Amino acid sequence: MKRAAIALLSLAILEIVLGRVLDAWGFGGKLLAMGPHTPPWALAAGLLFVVARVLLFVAGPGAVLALAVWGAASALTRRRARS
Amino acid sequence: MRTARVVLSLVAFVVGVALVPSRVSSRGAASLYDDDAATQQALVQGVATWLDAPVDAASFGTGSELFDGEWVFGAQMMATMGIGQVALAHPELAATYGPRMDACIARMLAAAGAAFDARSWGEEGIASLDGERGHVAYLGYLNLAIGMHRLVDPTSRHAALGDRITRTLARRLDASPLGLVETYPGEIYPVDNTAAIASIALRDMAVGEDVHDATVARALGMIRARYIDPANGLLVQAVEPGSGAPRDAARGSGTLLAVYFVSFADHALSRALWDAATRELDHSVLGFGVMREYPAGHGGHDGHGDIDSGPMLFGYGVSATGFALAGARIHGDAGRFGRLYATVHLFGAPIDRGGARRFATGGPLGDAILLAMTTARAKLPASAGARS
Repeated sequence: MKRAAIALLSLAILEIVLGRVLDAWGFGGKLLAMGPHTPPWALAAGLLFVVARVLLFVAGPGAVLALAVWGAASALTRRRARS
Repeated sequence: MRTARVVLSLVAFVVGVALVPSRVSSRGAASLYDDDAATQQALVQGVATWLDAPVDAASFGTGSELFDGEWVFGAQMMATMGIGQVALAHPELAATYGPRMDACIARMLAAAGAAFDARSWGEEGIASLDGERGHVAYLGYLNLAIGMHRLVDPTSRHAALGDRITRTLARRLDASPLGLVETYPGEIYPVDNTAAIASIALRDMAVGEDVHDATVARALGMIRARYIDPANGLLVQAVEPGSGAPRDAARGSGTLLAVYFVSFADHALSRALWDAATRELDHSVLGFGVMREYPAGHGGHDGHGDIDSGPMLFGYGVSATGFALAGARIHGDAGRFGRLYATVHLFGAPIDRGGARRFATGGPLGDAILLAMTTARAKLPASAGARS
C-alpha cells in the first residue's frame, strides 16, 4: 500500500514537472502536427506525458479508492483477529 | 477473507475509474459554458502569451512549409474569433480586446501570415481581389476575422478591406458552377468555402445590410444539395475541381468546423450538420466525450490521421473532438460540452500561471482553437455601428 502511494505521488510529480517543461519548450505545436519533421523528443515526451496523465487522472482515482478499501478491510481483519 | 478483500478492492477500482475521472476533468466546463468572465479571460490571456511572442513556422514543424504557414495564419485567425466572442459576451472588455484583435488581423495581412497562400498561387490574396482566382481559404478566414472585429469595434480600420474581400468572395462564389472556390490551385475544400460564406454573412450582419443574402443562400444551398453525404449527413472533406465529385470522404474535422462557420450564416444548416455529427461520430468513454474522424463502418480510413484530423487514436480525432465544443455551445448541448471538455482537459493538460490558462499539448494553434471553440456563441449581436 505504501509502495502504491509512493508510485502515485511520483506519477503526480512527473506529470507536473513534464507538463511545465514541455509547455515552456512549446512542444504543443509540434505534437499537434505529428508531421514527419516532429522531433523524436517531442513524440517520446508527448507519449510519456499523455500516459502519465491517463494513469494519474483515469486510473488514479480508482487506485486510491481501491487502496482505501484494501486498507480498511485489512484493518477490520486485524481487529477481528485480535478480539 | 483475502479473496473478499481483493474483490472489494477491484470493485472499488472499477467504481473509481468509472465515476470520478470524467467528473474531475469536466470541472470548469460549466463556467466556460455559462460565459464566466474570469474563465474566458484566462483563456484569452493564455493565447495572448503566444501572440505577444512571435508565432512563426518554427513554432510548428509539420514537415510541410505550406502547413506551417497555414498554422501561423490559423493561430491568429482563431485567436481573433475567440477574443471577439469573449468581447461580445462581456462588452466591457471590447475596448481592451479590440486592439488585440486588430493586431492579430495585422499579422494575418503581413508577409508571414499571407505567405502560405501567396506561395501556392504565385500572387498575394489581397493583390488578387480584382481577379477571379481562388484564394478562398486565405480570404475567407481573414474576412471572418475582420467581420468579428467589426462587430466588436465598428470603427475597425480593416472595414474597407473587409468590404472589398466580401465583394470578391461573393463574385467568385456566384460565378462558380460548383458553388465552391479553390483553396489552392486544383484543390477545393467545402469547409473553407463555408468560412468564406460565413464571412460574407458576418460582414452584412456587422453593417446591418442584406445585400449578399442571395449569394449566401445560393452558396449554402449548393453545399446542402451537393457536398453533404446523403448516407450520413456529414460534409465532404474535399471535392474534384472539375466535377465537384468527392475527392475525400465526409469527415468529422471538416463537418464539425463547418458547424461553427455555418452558424454565422444559417443556424438551421449548422444544426443539421451538428445533428449528423452527434449521430454518426459521437462516443463517450468512461464519461469522456470523443468524436470519430470517420463515421463508424467507414473502412480503411481510420489510420493515424492527417493534417486535418490531427493525431487519431482508435478512430477518434483530436480536431473533430476540439471543434465539437463549438457545436455543443452553439446548439445548447451542455451535457455534451461537459463530456468533450473533460477529454480536452485530460489530454490538453491545462496549465494556469499568472491568471493565464494554456494547454501543454495545445501550442499556439491548439490554444487559439480552444479559445474560439469554447467561446462560440449561439447568437451574435449586430454591431453597435450597424445601419438599421
